Amino acid sequence: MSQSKSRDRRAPVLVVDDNTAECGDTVAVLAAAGFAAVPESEGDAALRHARTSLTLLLVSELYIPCAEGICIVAVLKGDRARLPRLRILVHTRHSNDADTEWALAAGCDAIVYKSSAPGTLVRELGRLEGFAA
Amino acid sequence: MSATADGRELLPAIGAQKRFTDADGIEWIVSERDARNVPGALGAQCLIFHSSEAVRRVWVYPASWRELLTPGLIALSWGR
Repeated sequence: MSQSKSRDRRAPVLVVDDNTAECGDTVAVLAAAGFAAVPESEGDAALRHARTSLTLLLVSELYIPCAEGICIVAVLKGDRARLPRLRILVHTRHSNDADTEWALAAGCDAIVYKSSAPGTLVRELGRLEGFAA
Repeated sequence: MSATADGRELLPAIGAQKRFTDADGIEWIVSERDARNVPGALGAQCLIFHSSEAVRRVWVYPASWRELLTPGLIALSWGR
């Protein structure tokens, strides 16, 4: 079942991370699981992309240039009129309590720490994919 | 996990939290939070499931969630 699902085309995912290497790793992990992952390195471009393409799934780091990840989460989650089904997963290297608290207060639906196994990201995004559909 | 570095509690906890360990041996802490100021909130409160690997937010849950045993809490953590 899971193997079959990984071969199928899954929901598009906007991946926002200014660390090129880590962004590439994330896109590769998601692509291997069947997601159509699109990378974006700057926050303002990510906001435009999410609004124009009516993104359903967004994966974002917390600290990125030109509109920080926390700002992206708060702005997009607050735009329920335009993006009622959007689900946001914060994928971050910042696992301290304060950053976790800020991400939750901004409205993210889930957080995955980059120190976790790659399968964790796919598992948790799969959970949100079910809600966004 | 309940406050920022300067001590501010952004999502105040409501009542006691619970802990459980899933089938993979990962410990989770569950707490109910005041979510009235959360952008895009789907309710006045939510549950936060927090582990060393991931955090899940759940909006739909029974008032008696603290009475659930581990299997019930695990199932709830996969919910909406």
